[in-house]
Amino acid sequence: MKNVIKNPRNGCSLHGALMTALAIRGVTPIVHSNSGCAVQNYLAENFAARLGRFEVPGSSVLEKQVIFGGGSRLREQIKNTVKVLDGSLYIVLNGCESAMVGDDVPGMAKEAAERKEPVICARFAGFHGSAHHGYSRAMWDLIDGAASLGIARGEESGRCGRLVSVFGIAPGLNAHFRGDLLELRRMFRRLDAEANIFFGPGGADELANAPSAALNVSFSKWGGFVCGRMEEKYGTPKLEFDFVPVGFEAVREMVLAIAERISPDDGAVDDFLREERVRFEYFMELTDEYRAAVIGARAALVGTESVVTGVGKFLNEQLAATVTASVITDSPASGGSNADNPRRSDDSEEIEDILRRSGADIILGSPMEAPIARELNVPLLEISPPAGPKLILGKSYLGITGAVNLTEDYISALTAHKAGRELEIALEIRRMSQKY
Amino acid sequence: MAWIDERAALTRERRSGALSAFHGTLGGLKTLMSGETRQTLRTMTQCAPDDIVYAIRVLAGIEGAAVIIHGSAGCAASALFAPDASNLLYSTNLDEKDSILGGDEKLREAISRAASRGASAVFVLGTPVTAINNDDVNSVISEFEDRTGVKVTYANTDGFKSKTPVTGYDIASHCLLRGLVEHSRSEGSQSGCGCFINLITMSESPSDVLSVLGMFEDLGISVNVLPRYSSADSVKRASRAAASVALNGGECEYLVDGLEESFGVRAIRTDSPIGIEAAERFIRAAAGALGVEQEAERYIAERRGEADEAASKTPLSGYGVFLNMDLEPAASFAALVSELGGKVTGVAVPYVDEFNKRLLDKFHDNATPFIVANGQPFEIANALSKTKSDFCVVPRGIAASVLPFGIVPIEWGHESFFGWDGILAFSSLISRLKNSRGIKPFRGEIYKKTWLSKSGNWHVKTEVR
Repeated sequence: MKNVIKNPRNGCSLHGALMTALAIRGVTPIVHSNSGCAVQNYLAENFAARLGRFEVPGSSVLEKQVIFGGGSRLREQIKNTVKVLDGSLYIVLNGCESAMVGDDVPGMAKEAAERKEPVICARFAGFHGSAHHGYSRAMWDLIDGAASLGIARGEESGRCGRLVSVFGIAPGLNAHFRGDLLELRRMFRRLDAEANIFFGPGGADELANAPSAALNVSFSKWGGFVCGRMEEKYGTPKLEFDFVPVGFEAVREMVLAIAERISPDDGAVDDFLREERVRFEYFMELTDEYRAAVIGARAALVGTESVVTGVGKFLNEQLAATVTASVITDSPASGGSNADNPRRSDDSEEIEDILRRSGADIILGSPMEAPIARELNVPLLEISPPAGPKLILGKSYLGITGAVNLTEDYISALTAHKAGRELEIALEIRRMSQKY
Repeated sequence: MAWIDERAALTRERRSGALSAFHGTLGGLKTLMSGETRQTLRTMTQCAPDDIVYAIRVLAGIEGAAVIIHGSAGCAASALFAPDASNLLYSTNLDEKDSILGGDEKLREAISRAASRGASAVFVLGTPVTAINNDDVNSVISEFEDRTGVKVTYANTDGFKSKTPVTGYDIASHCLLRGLVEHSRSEGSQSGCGCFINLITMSESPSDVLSVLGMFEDLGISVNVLPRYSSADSVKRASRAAASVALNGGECEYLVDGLEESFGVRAIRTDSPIGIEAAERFIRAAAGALGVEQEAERYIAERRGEADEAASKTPLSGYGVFLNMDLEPAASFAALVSELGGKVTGVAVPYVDEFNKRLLDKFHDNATPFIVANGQPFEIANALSKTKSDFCVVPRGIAASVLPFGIVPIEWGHESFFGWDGILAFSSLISRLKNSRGIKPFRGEIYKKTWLSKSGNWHVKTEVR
């Protein structure tokens, strides 16, 4: 693991797990840690969830539980949480203390389950990795835990030939996760498939259906972990993409790969792709005049690997942008030279240095890139987490809908910036001419 | 002041017997606080800020200061988007291996890196991992200081020793008093000592602080704001001020008293400047310390007209207001509600202790429902379900808990309610929000009906020693 990080943006495993649990309707997390652990996350990642930022139940462990163990405190917390807060599934998430002290968290969850309370636990703690690890591990623990409680419907109903589970687009870790997943569901329905997206209106029911899916599709390596476990335990085949599809070509690539696995009805794929192409072209042909103004713009991208890859490809191929720097923040690796592109870092000092050298006309990143965007006097288009105080509900940068949104936002950011700059220059001319 | 020489501030529970759970009436709480308080525990809790979150909030609010969070990467998240957060926030990013072998090497690296970036001050904050692992942070710091001469200050936070997060403000204040405030007041006296006042702020929003600064500016009083919205220089020169005044005496007590006892900076003990009477008391107290009483009276007379006019319209007549805030502002706010013709239907405060319990006397109706909720929305929801309120003044982040009861939440901090401008702003907001009464939430009730029908102290028990 990398040593010191400046302005760490990826949180810890607890934070990723917490956002994952909160984003599934009907799932109520119970945090077993000191009281501030969950709050820290909310102050950074103010993403919309049914439970508010200070409503998350947690054991708020105190010194005596650190010294004598927090098992009994967790027992009473679980018992009382299910009496106070609604939920169809409760998951205990661990902070660092419980792991260091060695609290028997699985034992406490099992006790509750024996009382017929729908309680499971995550088998990892905060310091086991970043929030991305937390998403992967929590997703697996939720599905497997639901199955262990007998909530899962897979074994009784057999495999559902038209059900596809989607992984790798994580709450709070993909800035537009809800919109992206709903766009995928729309597309899959056109292929006669039903998508289990977990973070949509279906909520916890979709966890129950997951073991019976015909196919698991992942859109990042974080989803790949879950798919791997699902394949081992439930024999569910997997299909992995290392990018989020943006624009027609990427959608086509994805659709053909999926169609090969789920064999939709004859003509469904062709019909769907034809319609998507028409929709894409309809919007894009309206942009020529605007695109001309931004052709060749130098773009620097900062974000998760799958988003940077997908968005970068679209900008380059469809909007004629030159991607001068890509910084991948979700799998920072040590080493790598300055010339590497993409670079991997989650350290804001390194990222800012890369952006300074990129010569970019626009930065596509997170609100954390706002200071450097101001310093370089370039526009910032927010495509990455952490989202900060911004409210994001159904917006998507995935598929054709996402491509249209991205085109709108990208061109508007550049043209608005240019207009502002021209206004500044006009004022400067006036000021200079008045000197004489 | 012996406790300044200690390595860390004591918790509020030990120092002032802070009580963090109570459900009943104002009269009952007054009776309880008149005797020796016994610590309580909750058997059901919701996540709330801890001392780490509060200490980061303060120390990262000092411009140019480097704040090193010695713990896992998640422990540093809270300062990323704070409006006044320093850009020099470092995490030692401890992992499982470090939790076993210790994180000294990473801490050395973090301190060297922070110091090399020209930080105006360097602070190290502890976390549960380092506290449990007993990392010898002080040795690493001493070794670095001896080698480089750069001062590094350790804030001994741990996240689990105190139930009262305001302990984090005390720990941060202790750090500043020991490590950053100029210890030589006499040097300062030669360079203009006594011509300014320290305005101490811990939790107030930028708009709140700005509105109070505006009042001082109108009076021609020079102000040194700290520790939030400040610089290392502001903190250093705090020992040269004529006096210190806090926007929330309870939160700032450690710093205000520390400046008085260690550096002779007079502490002005007054109310939060909310409402007509409290704003006047605040200005008179501050002006008195700087000998500008006459100007203050002229200013008060000038400003009072508008506020009196707003109050004479009694915009809150017939309406009930539930106050969910710290006791210090709540005491002033209760007076404002009354000045505007309304009734306080209930009060929820995070804690009461020896330092602020005198404020309970500022509330007059002993039958008023009063809870000490320590940031527990489920207990506040329980109390709200049993009162008839039209409005609820809440801190940011829990407004959704208020909506199921048909009560209009008023989030505090967006618009300042401090001073005379605050009275006008609050009156105007109330007039606009009257139409929103009965507002329905989109989300269903998250709390079970069985809980709302129980007594609010169902999950509170007395601590057994």
